[in-house]
Amino acid sequence: MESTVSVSKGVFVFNNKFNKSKQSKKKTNLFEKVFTNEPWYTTYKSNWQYIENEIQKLHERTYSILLNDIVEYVKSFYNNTDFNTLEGIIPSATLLTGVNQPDHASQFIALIKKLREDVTPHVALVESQDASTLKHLVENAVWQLINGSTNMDVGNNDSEFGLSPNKKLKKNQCTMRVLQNWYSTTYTNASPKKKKNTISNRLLVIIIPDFESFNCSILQDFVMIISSYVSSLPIVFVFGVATSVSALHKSFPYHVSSKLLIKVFHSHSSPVYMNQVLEDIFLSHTSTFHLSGKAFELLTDVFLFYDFSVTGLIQSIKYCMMDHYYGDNVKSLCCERKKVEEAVMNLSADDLETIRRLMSFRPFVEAQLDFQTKIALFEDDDFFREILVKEIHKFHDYIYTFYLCVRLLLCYVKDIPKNILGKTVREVYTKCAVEPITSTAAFRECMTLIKFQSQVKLADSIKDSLKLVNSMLKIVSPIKPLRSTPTKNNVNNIALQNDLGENFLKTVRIHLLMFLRQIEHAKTEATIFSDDHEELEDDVENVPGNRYKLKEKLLKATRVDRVQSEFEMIRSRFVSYLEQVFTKGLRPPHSQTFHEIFFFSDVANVRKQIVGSPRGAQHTALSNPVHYLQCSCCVLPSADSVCCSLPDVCVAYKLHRECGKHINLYDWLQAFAAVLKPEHEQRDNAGAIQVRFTHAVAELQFLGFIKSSKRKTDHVMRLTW
Amino acid sequence: MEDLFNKVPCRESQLNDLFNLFGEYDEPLPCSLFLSGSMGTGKTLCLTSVLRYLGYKHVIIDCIECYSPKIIYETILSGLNTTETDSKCESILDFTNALNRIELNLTQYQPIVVIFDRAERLRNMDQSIICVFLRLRELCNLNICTLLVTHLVYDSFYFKMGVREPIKIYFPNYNKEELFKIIFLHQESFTQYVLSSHEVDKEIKTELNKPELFANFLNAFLSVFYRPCRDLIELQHMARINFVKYCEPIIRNEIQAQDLSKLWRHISPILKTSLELLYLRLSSNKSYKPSPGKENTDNMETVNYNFEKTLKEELTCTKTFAQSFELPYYAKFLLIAAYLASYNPPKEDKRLFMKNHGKQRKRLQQVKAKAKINEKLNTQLGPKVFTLDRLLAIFYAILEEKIGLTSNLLAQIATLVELKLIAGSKEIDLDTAKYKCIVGYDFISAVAHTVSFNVRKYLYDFM
Repeated sequence: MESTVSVSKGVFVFNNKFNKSKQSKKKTNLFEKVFTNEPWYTTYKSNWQYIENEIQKLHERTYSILLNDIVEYVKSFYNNTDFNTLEGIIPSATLLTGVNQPDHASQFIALIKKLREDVTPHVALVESQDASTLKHLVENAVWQLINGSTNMDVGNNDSEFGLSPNKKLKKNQCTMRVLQNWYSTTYTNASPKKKKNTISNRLLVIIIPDFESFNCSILQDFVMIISSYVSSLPIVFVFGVATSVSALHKSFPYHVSSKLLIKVFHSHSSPVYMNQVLEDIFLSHTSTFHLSGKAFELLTDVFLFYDFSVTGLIQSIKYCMMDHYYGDNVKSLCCERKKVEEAVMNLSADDLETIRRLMSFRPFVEAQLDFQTKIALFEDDDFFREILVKEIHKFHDYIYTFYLCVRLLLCYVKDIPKNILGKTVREVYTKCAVEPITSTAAFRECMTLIKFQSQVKLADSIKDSLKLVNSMLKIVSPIKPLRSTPTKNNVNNIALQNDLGENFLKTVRIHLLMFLRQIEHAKTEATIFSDDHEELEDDVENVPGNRYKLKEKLLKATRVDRVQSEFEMIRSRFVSYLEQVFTKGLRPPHSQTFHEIFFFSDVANVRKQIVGSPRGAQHTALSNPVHYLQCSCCVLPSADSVCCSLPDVCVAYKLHRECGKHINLYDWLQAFAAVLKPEHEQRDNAGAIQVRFTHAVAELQFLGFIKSSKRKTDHVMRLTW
Repeated sequence: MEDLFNKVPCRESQLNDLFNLFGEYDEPLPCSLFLSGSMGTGKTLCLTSVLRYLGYKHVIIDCIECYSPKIIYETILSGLNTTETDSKCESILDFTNALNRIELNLTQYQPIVVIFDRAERLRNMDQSIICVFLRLRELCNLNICTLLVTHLVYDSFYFKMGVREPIKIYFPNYNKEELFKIIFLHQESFTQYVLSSHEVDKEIKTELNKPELFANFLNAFLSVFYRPCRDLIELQHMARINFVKYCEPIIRNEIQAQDLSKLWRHISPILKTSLELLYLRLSSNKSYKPSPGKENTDNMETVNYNFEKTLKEELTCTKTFAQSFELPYYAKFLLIAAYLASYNPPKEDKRLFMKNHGKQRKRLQQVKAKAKINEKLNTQLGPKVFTLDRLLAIFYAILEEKIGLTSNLLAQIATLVELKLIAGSKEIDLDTAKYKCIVGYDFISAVAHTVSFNVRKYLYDFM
């Protein structure tokens, strides 16, 4: 900052050169400075980065089709001007977004980005809070259309247009006329070099993301205004509608909606999108951080029951992750597979000690038969490290198999009637992660239902699961039938080796192929050997009157096993094989050694943070201030008791809870005074107490618990129940 | 002159009136004119073509755009004054001063016309503004005329005092013959439109270009559409869409262009279905072709047809509307609770929602039942206002499981308000928050059906 030379003394204004971005950068530096050296922080950061990238990719994948469609649609207008015989009609795209409000923002930002890149620099996004009156709406839209472009032009070819006077345009000067003048100066009189650009490059796009929250009449007027300018300005609307198209028609009367050419686009419904996010990113072995069944259930419940917001869900998962990693170096082991050795080596002796204290470590130690190893596990850090690496690799293998089995199970159960285990990966996952699924009734029911499936159906689901396995193994070649026809003996000897991970997968694949082959070739008809002569006997015996004998005969017939067809035999064998696979692969995570490192399960703690309950918190603060103040003076024997050391508001609050709908102020004051000064005559200090009481009442009123009533002047009304 | 009359058909008397009133270049203009007539009756078209023909200086102001009078003043001034680009004008005084300044630059008695389109908007502004504009001549020394164009009749403009009554010209609606004439004027653009979207042989092209074909179509079209719709713009739009379909069998060589009865049989069901889409103005859903022309031709393809049908149903039947979007689970219950709170009298809450509500005396009920015959049902009377407390109490009463009062739950109320399912303030305030459920019974029963909840059980009317 240079010094100023001035004869007169005065105050000089220097523009602050430290802009905001610099400051915020500094802040993160400070934050990072504290934590960078901590291994847990670096692991957390890299993991979150990974997840964020994945989400971004998925996001782009899911939105890209929709966005491309919209952009194409927007582009298509004004290309051929000879169709504009119907004057004053504004082309508009209606995007049905669904009711998840927080997610819309990202969608529209993506849309704007895309429009800016592909179509036009002039995009305005006007939200309802910026448009309380028509004036504000017009000003905002115009300002953004004009200024958004200048920002872009600086990057491209600045100083080509005489935009400099517009740059200092004040918001209250922005009217449609200004826009029109600006547009004609920038484009109509543009240099011939610029002219080769098609008209779509200079469209004006106005985006209205939250259609429902706009004031109808304002929006109607706005549309009418735009429609009167549409002959000279190529404007396109994009409406974001949360409910359905008919909302548009309901809020626009005919004379307005006739000015719009509406085309509807459907975006993904958010539950579908959530399933996608969870399946592709969090419920896969590639993710290093996992949620336990309970925590996972909590988060999905919040989503399904409350808000349908994917952004919210991702943020909650992020919170869980932060909570998981925070301040715990052991958690640095929760990283990618190839970094495990390095991470283990970096652990200090203290960290190893914490690992030894993990709950899941004890059964592991007890399982060791050798007395020497038991001691070594506790004494020898290097040996422990070795074991740790081995165990963690084992755990990764387990995770790999677990998610595979979840998906396999889904392949078989998703078509089953009654929807016992659920239709999506997340539903199956929650069930599997909580308890060993194979011992549940639901699972057994599913298996019996599979036993009734037809040949074609079963073959189809096996094919599906094979596809899945192949994609996991990244085998590109199509399913080829096994050359060597397995002998019967071989089939019966199907047994699963003890190893998990890719080897497990490979064996499962081979077995599945085998079963598929057998099932496809199996005969469905039961091979009925000739029981003819028996039937003949039956006919003879079937004389009327001999009822007792007939009954006996029927009973016998039921006892005789039905002759199974070849297919049925294979089917039952297959089902028992499936059971075997799933018992092995779907052991719940909390049965594994060191699961605490990878699975986040502190539900109770997180619930408080994610599902905030403002009224509950207020109530605790007022009825039991120790919970927040942590002071020794106010410890109460029970929730209802009152003591004089409590803050005044708390005393008043507790007293008011004892009253009915109307509270007599004088009685309340008396009770208040009695609590504060039980032994004294109230006369002494009446003034001071009254002041404190008034203060407390005012605070309660401010918090919204009471309000004064006009009916009885010396009473207040309770507003809570 | 002749040309002008051809371009603006069926408005001879109005055009003559305007010409007579505007007179010659050096004659004084009338002080003010008032043009009325419903939408799409050619008011603006007549006016602008007359003024363009006469070559008078004129400014057109769309009053809808003028949220503040400042914009009117500045638009007029910049319209009259081509040299000065930026003129600031805050009040009427500034405005008249500026007008007087303009006068110096003009030749004596150059006629100036100021047109206020959608003049009904002026009524919402300051009373004095409209009065000033009606006697603008007296405030400045110009040959100026004020024109109000509106779809309202003059009687709906009530002025306090001191208004010189404007001369009124009324534009009646077009009748069937006139509509035919006017749409027929654009015959070429219609055929052009068809040709642009289809590959057509030369032979058929000449067929399509024949005016008789279009005339026949138009006859058929108007016979169906004239009854429900008199709006020229909408008729033109529908005619454009349907003419394409009319021509399609000819293009495909299935029906000869001369075979009128066959063509009529082909088009009449199509016309009837598109009659249902009147006023909806939907561009087709599924086609992503680059040209807008194509999009309209695809309109009728089966895929899109389904969609249009659902929209139509959505508009007519709230049930499909309710099913067309998904709400979170608790939001559904909140909405149901809001509905119950709106349509049940608060006195009956205890009886409806509590398990041990005690028995009501029989005699009382009988009396009530008698009175009920005269009384209208609550569900038909429209929603009543309720407080947040009551909403939450009912919500917890109808919800089986116990859940905490969390911020997420409270945020859902705001969401419902935002979606315009509940009317009220977005802020949650214990004291003043008052809400009203603004969806109907059909909607609620559809929502309740998805969570398998019986609304009728909890409605006082059905007790």
